[in-house]
Order: sequence, then structure tokens, then C-alpha cells
Amino acid sequence: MARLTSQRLAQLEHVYKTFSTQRGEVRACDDVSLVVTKGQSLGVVGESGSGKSTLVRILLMLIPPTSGRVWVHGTDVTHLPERRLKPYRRQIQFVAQDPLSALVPNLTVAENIAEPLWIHRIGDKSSRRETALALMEKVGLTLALGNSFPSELSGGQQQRVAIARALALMPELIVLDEAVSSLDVSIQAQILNLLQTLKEDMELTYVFISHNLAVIRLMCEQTAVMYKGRIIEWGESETLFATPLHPYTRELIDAIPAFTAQGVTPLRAVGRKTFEASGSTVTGCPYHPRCPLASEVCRRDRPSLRPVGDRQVACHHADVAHVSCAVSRRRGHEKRLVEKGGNGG
Amino acid sequence: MSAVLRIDDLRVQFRSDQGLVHAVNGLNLELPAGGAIAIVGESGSGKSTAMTALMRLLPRTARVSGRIWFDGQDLLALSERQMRKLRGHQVSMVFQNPMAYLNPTKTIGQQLMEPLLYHHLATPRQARWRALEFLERVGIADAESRFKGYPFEFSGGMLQRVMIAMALMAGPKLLIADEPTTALDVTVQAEILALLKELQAEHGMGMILVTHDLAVAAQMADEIYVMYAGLVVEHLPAGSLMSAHAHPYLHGLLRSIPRIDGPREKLPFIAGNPVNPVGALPQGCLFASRCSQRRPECNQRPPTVRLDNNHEVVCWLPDIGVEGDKSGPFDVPTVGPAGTRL
Ligand SMILES: Nc1ncnc2c1ncn2[C@@H]1O[C@H](COP(=O)(O)OP(=O)(O)OP(=O)(O)O)[C@@H](O)[C@H]1O
Ligand SMILES: Nc1ncnc2c1ncn2[C@@H]1O[C@H](COP(=O)(O)OP(=O)(O)OP(=O)(O)O)[C@@H](O)[C@H]1O
Ligand code: SF4
Ligand SMILES: [Mg+2]
Ligand SMILES: [Mg+2]
Repeated sequence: MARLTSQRLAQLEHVYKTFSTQRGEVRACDDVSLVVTKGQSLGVVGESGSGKSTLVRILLMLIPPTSGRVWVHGTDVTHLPERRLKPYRRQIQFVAQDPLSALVPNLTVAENIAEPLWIHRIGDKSSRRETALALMEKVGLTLALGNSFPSELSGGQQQRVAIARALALMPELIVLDEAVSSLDVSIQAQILNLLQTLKEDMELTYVFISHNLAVIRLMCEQTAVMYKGRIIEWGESETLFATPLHPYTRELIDAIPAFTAQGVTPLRAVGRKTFEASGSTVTGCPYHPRCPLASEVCRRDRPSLRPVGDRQVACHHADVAHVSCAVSRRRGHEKRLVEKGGNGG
Repeated sequence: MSAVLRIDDLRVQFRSDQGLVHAVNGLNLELPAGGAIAIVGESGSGKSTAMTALMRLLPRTARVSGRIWFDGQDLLALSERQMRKLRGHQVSMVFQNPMAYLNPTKTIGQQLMEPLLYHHLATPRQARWRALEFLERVGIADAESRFKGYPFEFSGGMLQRVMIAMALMAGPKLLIADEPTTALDVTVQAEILALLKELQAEHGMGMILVTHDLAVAAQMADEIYVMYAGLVVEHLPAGSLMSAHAHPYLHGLLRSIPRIDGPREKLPFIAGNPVNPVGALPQGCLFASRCSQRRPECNQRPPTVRLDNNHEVVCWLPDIGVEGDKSGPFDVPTVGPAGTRL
């Protein structure tokens, strides 16, 4: 690790979150613990509906956990009154999945970017506008759009406004929930490069939520993989993606649509295994109905997060998974090559 | 094969305080019956605007011209009443931003049943049954109880799947899917894409997929249209995407894709600024100011050059016989199936 004195920016401790609806309870976070250290950006990946956005809302102090604790800069903020949360809130900014939700519809682009400064009473009108225009340039928006309204922009342009707005208060931690998924790949590359530069220049740390594993690997030193409200694997991004230990992580990596020397990975007819398994409460390991390694113990006991090699994994057979992983992947590759050949290209 | 959809010279401009916004500047495309095409391209290049024009759902500030032939009729010439008969029945769209199209005060179930009930395609009982079936098909667990839930109780990816279910409910002839899987993890995405392919095979549904994921476009579509500044700059068979792409913009896009096994450093990107759509468009090739291959000829509008069957490019290079820069990350031969390391 780069720093000797690692600084804890934020921490979740045994966080549970249950939503009660008229039709019963939904457990969105199920005993989640994690630490965000300065300079160690954290990627959060996982199943759709696995609780990533809920976790972020708890971290941003927008909703309280059902139980467990939230720490920001060494202070337990779980039960702080609203008025005392303000200074902590300012240090963690947010860029959402849907940019329009973050922008004020009847403010112009420049006004939207400057608004956080106005709320926190920083600078005067002209200096705020200057900052806004400088930020627009930074995120690759033509200045001509400064007087446009958010609704007049394309999805991609709106997202750039939202990023500029999050930067306005110079926060230490920025949480990005699918922040680049609506951009074309060239602008995505520019924004990712920009975020990397800002990370160094402004000593920013990110909590980055994305379904794009390549983006996570690029942006984050650490990665946590979520499945049904729980973290099931957590470690250094580089090694986690090179040698996934949890079978679900491996399934994710194998499903990435990607270009290969032969063209593109073929669409797999996965036979709905994914969906059938997503039925509500299962005993034992929540992943066992889908898992190729599932055994008796998996159907009976719920595995908890434990250290395996260089990381944390919640799987009874993580050590086996390690070995069989390389084998199955190679086999998968050969099989696909055969399929390709069989199709006649 | 006859075309289920043909778009001829579609142009869309928006009136705004800044002036006229040129969002779509002459789009031509054709979708063979039962086929799938993908539209990829720049953020702001007019993809959603063109698709929304097809659905006739653009705001009043939009000025639309051209022809959109669907099933032997020009959609742009239909009355609002005729259009309403088609929308959500023969032609459905999955919108890029589900939250903007779902009603926060109605349950997901009510909204799912709407197209069937509106078009008198089912009794309430049948509609309910079909809605539950489709919720399950898009992988929403506990469909029964989710049916009574409100949009805010769903995750982003779940809402996206609800939108997909809603668009598929009435068994459309033509599905327009605008970024339908951006909020989904890759395993659920694979299931949804497989489902769409299945419905295409079952009912001969035609599909236009708008996406920024070029690998997904190549997986799903027969042909790919690449848009830049409101125009198609290249149209090619999906199978030729990697091996035979010709436009410098497309080349730049392909190079910008981050790979799971790529180097952890800054990514290549296309330098320069997008064309300002407000006011008059620049002379010459719209990509010229950002193009690394630029020639003196590029000050004139480039011709459309036919390179092969279903493969055209709007660029001077092939016309004057110049081979563009093809260097890129895809020369790397050591790449496994999922882009994983071998
Ligand atoms: N306000 C709420 N009321 C009831 N249930 C909720 C609420 N918010 C979230 N949930 C449920 O909690 C679970 C987790 O949702 P969350 O939005 O955190 O998932 P996610 O991992 O962000 O998914 P995605 O990748 O699709 O965005 C889901 O089952 C969702 O339906
Ligand atoms: N209602 C509107 N009024 C004014 N301009 C608009 C309006 N809607 C879209 N535009 C402009 O039209 C252009 C095309 O936008 P559109 O949303 O179609 O792009 P897109 O290709 O779908 O982009 P993305 O990939 O980011 O979704 C953009 O310059 C946008 O700013
Ligand atoms: S604990 Fe068992 S079922 Fe769960 S992921 Fe590991 S091997 Fe599979
Ligand atoms: Mg989410
Ligand atoms: Mg769009």
C-alpha cells in the first residue's frame, strides 16, 4: 500500500437496511462493512438490485441504516442531527445515474454548476460564474451551452454538467453511481482521464459504482463485488479481476461483451439460470442455486466474508474456485472458438 | 427481404433561445423485416431525437422533415389518432431514461397493463397475467409482489427491465430500444439480450438498438449505423466492425474502449470538440476539425462511398484512395473470450 498512515475517509460497520413496503420487507443491505481510505478509490460492482445504490445513499447520509454505523472522518455520524451533518455532507459529493435528477430544471447549465457554491455562500456572483465556466471546459462542454437549460442537452451532456457540479465544492470523496454509462466511449474516455487527473491534482478519492468492470479496474485501487445485499468479494482490483475467487465474480467477468481476435464474444443463451435463481430467500449461500461449485455445505450454511489469500471472499469453496477458475475459463475459450468455427464465421 | 422500416432524409431541428438546434441532419436507414440494426455514435449526435421523432413524441419546439416508412405508411404523415393506435402496440420504445416515462404515483403493475388495456388487446385479467409473465421474463423476482410496487421501490436496473417488459407486452412488430441495458450488470444484460433475440426469432420482431457499447451492438445487430453530428457517417455489417471499419471517427471510438485486460493508464480519445449544433453547420466534413487523417479535400462535403454490400462510408479517404490509420488496441492477439487474460 502506498501510504503508511492511511486515512479513513468513510466507513460502514455492519450495516443493514430493510425497506418495509405494504407487501413485506425488502432487505437491500445485509451486513455490509467497508472502509474507504484516502487515495484508495473503491469500485462497487454487482447484480442489478444487489443494494449498491442503497449502500451509497447510506454513505451519503441520505437515509439511515436500519442497524449498523456510518463513520465519516473518524466521527460516528449515524445519529447526528441534520444540522450537524452539513460539514460532513460537503466532503462527500455525488454524481448520479440519472443526471437530470441532480440538476435544477429552471437553472441554466452555468447556474447549475455554480449552485453548490451559492448554497455554501462561496465567492460572489461573477467569481462563481467564472468557476462554473472553468469547470465546463474541464469536463468538455462547449461554453456555448452555458446558458442552455438541462432539458435541452443530450443525456451525455447532462452527465458532464452533473460532474462539473459535484466538483464545485472541491470535495475529498466523490461517489459516482453509473456516472459514465450514458456517455459515448470517447467522451467516457475523456471523463475517465479527467477523473484520473483530478484524483491526482485534487487528491480525490472515488467510490465508483459501475456495471462496466473495465472502467472499475481502471479507476479504482480496490473493488467490492455485491450479490443480494452482501459483499461477496473484496480486494485489490488488479488481482481481483485477474484471478476472481468467488464464482459469481467469475461469472461476471466471463459475461463481459468484448472484442476478441475473432470478432466479438458470442451472445450466450444462458437458459435463464440467472433469473430462476433470483427467487427470494434461499438458505445457505445466496448464490448456490446458480453456482457450479455448490455442495452440501453451500445449501446449508451461509458463508461469511473471510480472508482468502490477498482478499476477502464469502464462499465455502473459494480456494477450489481459485484453481478451477483458470481451467474453466480456458475451456470456455476453446468452446467458443469451436462455436465460431462451426458457425462458419 | 422487404424492409419493415425505412427512414428517408430525416431532419430534426429544435427552436431554442440560443437559435436553431440541428439535432438530426439527414438520416437514412433501413431495417429489414425481422432484422436488428444498431445505432451507435456520439453523445448528442441525435440518436434519441431520431428515435423519438419516429415515435412522434418530440416536443412542440421540434421541426421534423423527411419520411419514415413503416408498414407501407409514412409515420410523419399520420394523424395523432392514427399514431396512437400504433404506439405501444405495433411500435414500442424503451426510453433511455425510464424515470422520465414512468408515472411515480401508479403501481408498476398498472403501468405494465396499460398498453394492453388501451389497445383492447386483453381483458384486465389477461393483462395482469401477461404482465406477471413478462416481469418474470425480464428477471424480476417475486413478480406477484413487485407488481403492486411503485417505481421508487425499484432499483435503476429493475426499472429499466420494467420498461423493457412494458415495451414487449403487446408483441410489437418494431421495437426501439434506446440504451436498454446500460443500468444492468453484465449477466442480467446477457439474459435480456438473449430474450430480445428470442422474441425476434419467435415473432419476427424488428429491432433498432441504440447503444454506446459497441461490443453489444456487434453481438445483437446485423448492421450497424454510426452517427456523428446528426448524420450517419458509416453503415456496415456487424461482422465487419473490427476488420473493415473505414471512418476515422469510428476508428477513434473503437480505440477508446477500456478493456478489462488493458493497461491501467489514460485512455485514447478523440481530441477536439463536438460540432456545435446551434446555428449553421460548418462547411465540409463535419468531423474534419477533429480528424487525424484530414486532407485538403475535407473542406468540401465528403461523398458517400460504397465499400461493399451494406457498407458505406461518408469520407474522402476511400474516394481519393487513401488507406486511413488502422493502428489500434485490437491488434493485440493475446486476448481471451471475455477479454480476460489467458
Ligand atoms: N425506497 C425503497 N423502498 C422499497 N424497496 C427499495 C427502496 N429502495 C431500494 N429498494 C429495493 O432494494 C433493493 C436494492 O436496490 P438498489 O437500488 O440499492 O440496487 P442496485 O444495486 O443499485 O441496483 P441497480 O444496479 O439495478 O441500480 C432492490 O430490491 C430494490 O427494489
Ligand atoms: N428538446 C430539445 N430542445 C433543444 N435541443 C434539444 C432537445 N432535445 C435534444 N436536443 C439537442 O439535440 C441534440 C441531439 O440530442 P439527442 O438526445 O438526440 O442525442 P443522443 O445521440 O441521443 O445522445 P446520447 O448518446 O447522449 O443519449 C443535442 O445537441 C441536444 O442538445
Ligand atoms: S459458497 Fe458455495 S454456492 Fe456459494 S458461491 Fe461458493 S461454492 Fe458457490
Ligand atoms: Mg443502482
Ligand atoms: Mg440518447
